[in-house]
Amino acid sequence: MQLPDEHVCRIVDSTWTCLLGLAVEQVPESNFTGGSSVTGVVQIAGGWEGTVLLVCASDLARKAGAAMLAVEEDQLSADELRDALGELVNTIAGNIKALIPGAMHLSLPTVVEGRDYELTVPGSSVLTRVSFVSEGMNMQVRVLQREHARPS
Amino acid sequence: MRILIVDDSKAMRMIVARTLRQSGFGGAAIEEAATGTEALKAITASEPDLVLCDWNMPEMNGLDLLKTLRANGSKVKFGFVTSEASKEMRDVALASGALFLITKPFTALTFEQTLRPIL
Repeated sequence: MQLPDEHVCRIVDSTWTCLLGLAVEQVPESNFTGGSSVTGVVQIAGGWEGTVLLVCASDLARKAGAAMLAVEEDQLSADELRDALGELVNTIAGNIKALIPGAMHLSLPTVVEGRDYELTVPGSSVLTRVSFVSEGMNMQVRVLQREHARPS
Repeated sequence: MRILIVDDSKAMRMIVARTLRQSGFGGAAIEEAATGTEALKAITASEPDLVLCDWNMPEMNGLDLLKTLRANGSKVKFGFVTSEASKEMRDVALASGALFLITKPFTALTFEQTLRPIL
């Protein structure tokens, strides 16, 4: 299973443009060390199993949420921010799923927020990791592939 | 004209409503439901001219809502707005009585081209 960076870039670009009206640009690497971030997570299960993560600098997540809900950033509640990031990762994951042959379904999104945390999915390895900048702030899309357990 | 938007995400309901206005349906009365159950009650009480429904929702998903409506005899115009759009899902949606399936992310042009012929 391969997932070229350019496919992820196309999906993220159309999601950011159509849903947020914001520009996004691919960059070589994102660094979230020391800063707070918000991560949206969606699992894909079925013929292929994996996880799609959207990691956004907290200020970018707030700007994206405000754009989606058409409110000022300081008026965006914590629940609204999580809802918006969940929808963004859901949209990205749904489009990634469409690139993978076979019958699968998406989980409902989960959203995690904090500072200097590591989010791992046991039994999975990184299939694709693409970094972006939007509004001068970092974001990254990671696709993890779950290794199927072999019968003992 | 009344259009019911069904999505568990408030953010997405707002974007769908905004896109309806941008695509020339600003004159329609927009109603919202956050769950399939809530939508079922609203549609049973008074059928809108169109239902725009998410697929992947907790409790009752969009496909179950559509099947329940058809089993109850409702002929309300129904389309999906979803991030997932495999051929299998499209086939199931159409076979179950949906008129269309719009994939997220979408544009106002997509809404206009899809909705204009049926409204």
